[in-house]
Order: sequence, then C-alpha cells, then structure tokens
Amino acid sequence: MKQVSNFEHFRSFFIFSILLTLYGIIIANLYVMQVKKQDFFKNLGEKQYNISVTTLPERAPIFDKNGTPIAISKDSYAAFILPKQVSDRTATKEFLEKHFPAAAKRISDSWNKNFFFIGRKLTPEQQELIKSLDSSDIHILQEPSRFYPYKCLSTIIGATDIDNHGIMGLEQEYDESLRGTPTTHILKKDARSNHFYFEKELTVQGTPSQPINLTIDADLQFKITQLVKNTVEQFEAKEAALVVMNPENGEICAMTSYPYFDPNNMEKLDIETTKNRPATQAFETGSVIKAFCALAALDLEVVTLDEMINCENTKETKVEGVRVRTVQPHGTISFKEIIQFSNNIGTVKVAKRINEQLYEYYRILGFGQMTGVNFPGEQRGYVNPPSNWSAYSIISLSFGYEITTTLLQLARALSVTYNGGYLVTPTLIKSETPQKKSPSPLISEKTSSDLNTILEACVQKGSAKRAKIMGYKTSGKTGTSNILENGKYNESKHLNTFIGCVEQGDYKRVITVYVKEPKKASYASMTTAPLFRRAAETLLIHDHMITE
Amino acid sequence: MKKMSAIVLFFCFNALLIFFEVHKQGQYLKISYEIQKLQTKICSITKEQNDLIYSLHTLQQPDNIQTIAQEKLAMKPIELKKVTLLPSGDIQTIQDTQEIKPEL
Repeated sequence: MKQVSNFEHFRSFFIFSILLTLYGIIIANLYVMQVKKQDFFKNLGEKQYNISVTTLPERAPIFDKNGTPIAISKDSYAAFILPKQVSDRTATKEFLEKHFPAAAKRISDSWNKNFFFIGRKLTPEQQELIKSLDSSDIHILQEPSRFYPYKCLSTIIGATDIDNHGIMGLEQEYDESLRGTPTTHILKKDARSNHFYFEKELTVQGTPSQPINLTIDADLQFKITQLVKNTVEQFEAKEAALVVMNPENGEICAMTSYPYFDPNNMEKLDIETTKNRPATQAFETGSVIKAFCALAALDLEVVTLDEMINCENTKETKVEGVRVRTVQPHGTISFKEIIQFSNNIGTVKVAKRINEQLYEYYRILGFGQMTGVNFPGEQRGYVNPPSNWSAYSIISLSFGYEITTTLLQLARALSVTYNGGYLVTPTLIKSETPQKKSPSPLISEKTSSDLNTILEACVQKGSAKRAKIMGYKTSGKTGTSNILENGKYNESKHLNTFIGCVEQGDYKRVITVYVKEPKKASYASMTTAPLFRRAAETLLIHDHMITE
Repeated sequence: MKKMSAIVLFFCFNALLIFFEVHKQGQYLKISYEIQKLQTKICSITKEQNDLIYSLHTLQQPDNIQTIAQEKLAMKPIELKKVTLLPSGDIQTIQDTQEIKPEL
C-alpha cells in the first residue's frame, strides 16, 4: 500500500477547497437570484418573454344620410431618423437640405435627440424619393390619417390633427366615440419567435370605435354649395351660407358655408374658412324677423291679416317721437301687405301693440338660445331684453336689429309655421328615435295658417318674387340689414337674408340663407331670393319631387 | 426477468407519454402560428382593401366628376323647368327601346 504524501494531501485539500468555493459562489449566487433579488429577476424574465401590445381601433368612418362615406381612414406615411444612431450624418444632412429644408433647419439643434420626424403625411413623391435613397438612416413609419371625399362638408365634419384627433366640427364633437379606446394584450414569446407568440392574454378590453350617420345628404350638399359659391362670385360677396332643414323632425339635409376649407390639405389654412357659418355666425337679420314679429302679433290677436294700417305714404316718419325709415312709401295697406312689401312703418305700429311680449315670443321661438344641435362653437345669439330697452328698442326688434340670430335658429323658428306649431331640435345625427320637439304647439293653427298666407304673398307679389317656383308652393321673406362696423351701421355694407319653405304635398323643406357684403347688389330680393329659388329647385330635382 | 420487463414497459410507456405531449405542443404551436400567419394576411388584405376604398373615393370626388362632366362631356346642370314627368307607360317604352340591341 502506497503511503499518501503530505503534498498529495495538500493537493487534494486544495482542489477540494477550490471546488467548495466555486460551489459556494454558485449557491450564493442562486440565493441572491432566487431569494434576495427574486422580484428583480422575475420582472427581467417577464420582460423578455412577455410583450405588452396596445392596439387602438381604426377611427370609425362618418356616413351621410344615404350611407356614403364622407370621412374615412387611410394610411399615411411619416419619415423619421434616430439622430443619435445616424451613421452618415453629412449625407443625411445634405439630403434633408435638398429635399426637406424645413426639417434640415430643425435638425441642426436636434442631433443629440433619440427621435426626429423629418416629415409627416408624406406625398407619394416624397415616399418614392426616400425609398430611392435607400439609406439606413432614414426610416418610414406608417400612421393612420383621415380622408374626406366631400370637401364641401368640411365646415360640418371638421378635421383631425396630425395625430388623428378631432380638432374641429363633428370630428371634435364625437372624437371619443369615433376613436374608441385601446385594447391591451400580453404576448408570450421567446427570443426566436420574432412576429409570433405562444400565448395572447387580454389585459385591458377596449371599446370599438363607433361610426356616425349624418342627416346630411352629401350629394345635395355638393350641389347646394356650388349654387352658394356661384352666388358669392356673381355678386362679389364676402361670404354666404345656407341651411336646408326638414321642419317636421329638425333633420338638417344640407348646411353649407362658403368659403370653406380643404380638409385634405390643412397646410395653408385660413381660419376664417373653417367657420360653420349657419351655426356659429350670429348676425342682425333685418326684415326676415318681421315674419316672427307678425307671428307674435297674429298669435296675440292684436292684428288681423286684413286690418288696414296707415303707413303714411312716406319713406321716413316719427312713431311716438322716434324716427322710422322704410325703403318704399306705402299709404294705408293691410297688415298682410305690410309684411309682403316689408314696410317698416307699418311693422313698427303693430310691434308697438305687442311691446314687451315681442321679446317673450322671440325667446319662445328659440332666439338667444342654443338650438341643441350639438355643434362645437354654436352661437346662441342675442335678444335685447326689455330691462335694457331704449325708446328705439321695440322699433329695432320689429325689423331685425338689437337681435342677432344664426341661420340655424331662423330655420328652427320658421319650422314652427310649417309643422303645426312645434319647436323642433335641429340635428345633424341620424337617429332611430324621434327627434325632440316642444311638448305642445307654441302657436295656434290659425296663426300658422295666417303666417303661411303672408309668406306666400311675399313670394307671389311681394319683395321675394324672385324666389317663386312655377307649379310649386313656395313661401318666404327677404331681409336686408346694414352691417355694424366700429359701433356704427355702415350703409354701404349689407347682409342679405332669406327664410322660406318649399312644399310639394307632404314634402316640406325650410331653407334659410344669407349673403354677406354683396358688391353688385344691395337687396336680398336680388341676391338671396334667387339663391333660395335655385336651391329649392335643386332640392326638388334631387329628392324627385317633380309635379306633372 | 419479469421485473426487468415491467421496468422496460414502464419506461416505454412514459417515453410514449412524453412523445405525445411534445407532439401535442408541437401541433398547438403549428396551428397557433398558422392562425397568426392568417391574421397577418387578413391585416394586409384589409390594408389593400382600405387603399382601394381610398382610391375609389378619390376618383368619386364630386369635384372631379363635375369637372369631367362639364369640361369633357359638355354637360350642364339640370333645370327644374326642363324636367318633365313621363307617364309610367312611356317609361316602359323607353326601357324597352334601350334593351333592343343593335344588329351587327
């Protein structure tokens, strides 16, 4: 038996010690990883295997009355660089200076950033240019954006911003439901599974985006917008707007505003063109308000249609010490003729009989209040209350001053005459449930019928002759007001209005229109009345309401 | 000998179970990958469909149609007074006429 030397003992002990130390280190490490820093390593592991993915639903489309898409989603492309990781800075800089000068200017201070957008919503040419460069430094990103086939609807639908969030019009009003909410999943995958995963676990359930169906008929809107545009060009006016509404249920069939903007090209945007004038522009209407003054007088029975009133056969007189002017002199004429010929002196004499109740009637008809259409930026207008009245106030209020209204409010108030006396809530959103209206008629049937007679006479023989359509029942009232500038009424600047209705059997459509600052004509009878006729004719053809 | 056979049988049975489990997992992954591939395909087809819808609506823009109608086809907006309502019998006659194919 061989004796084990001391050296061999030492060697065995040394190797054993090393192995023991190594095992000790491993056990200590295992202890640290599994016990001491368990949470840290658990998280690290989960991060490597579990990927959280958040998906935002596609922004829902907006449809018109007939189901035609008027706002759809499309993919747009953005170009970006990762400045810190750029391999060839000089080449990138040269490329940007040549093709994206704005980005080249911005990047000079941003080379230390992690991410930099060169451009968003790239044109197909720009995309091609970047692809042809074949640079590993410039990347292309796909992102959602909006496309609007009908530009003429821009002032109603509005638009989305660069991040596809609604910033104007209905896109803004219904942004939440159009966007929906994101859904989050956790994907379990390993390092080699690339796009694939083993398991998908739902963590946050989102809500789908909800499309909107409008009451607007996009094709009709286009045709009407062309007419409004032609009128603005013909009379060299500043702007114009028109509303077509169903008086029975308040559904808005067309609501046009000119000038309007191109929602597909928002780079050069004139903020004035983004206004939805029918809902957001309140103005002094002039004589169209006489229709509602007549409504109040007839409903309160302070006058009858045939009552003869002395209009003093003059253009200017004093009523109870206050000066009143009118366009054409008339002698003693019936109340119907007073409204028909738009005589201010006769109207004021009748308004004096109503006095403070005129304010009440204007309020009942919805003036000075929101219409309930739910449109961002809607104006409530203003009716001067009796507590603020001067001696001139009742006179002003009877022919359309000291009261500002929107076209939508005028359409709503006029609908009362054509739907049996109910005040409807105008709407742009198609709904299965019946629209809200006042619980009981605001005016008597006789008042409706009498006012109808007056407005028909205005078109047949009065100031609105140019609104007449042969073979169809048309009624309406013109209005011309001076525009207030720096606290004074400018007599050379006019705002022409027209409110009216076209009927064919049970088919009724209320049309309200205004043309601002026409240079080639002063009176509404020349501008808005023919525009009403053309719009009504277009409407009748479009809706197939042709008489034999 | 009998003891040996039982042990072998036990190991074989376990090996078979392991094989089936691995096979099941493999099949599960294969089908899962197939589903994901199809989902990717659906996404690309949906994208293609959206692109086509976009192209369609770009071409259908009323401004474009109006320009073509008025400038290339010399069409004019219709006027109400020029619209006549035909009795239903006449409409049928027009439809019948349109259905007659020209002789070659």
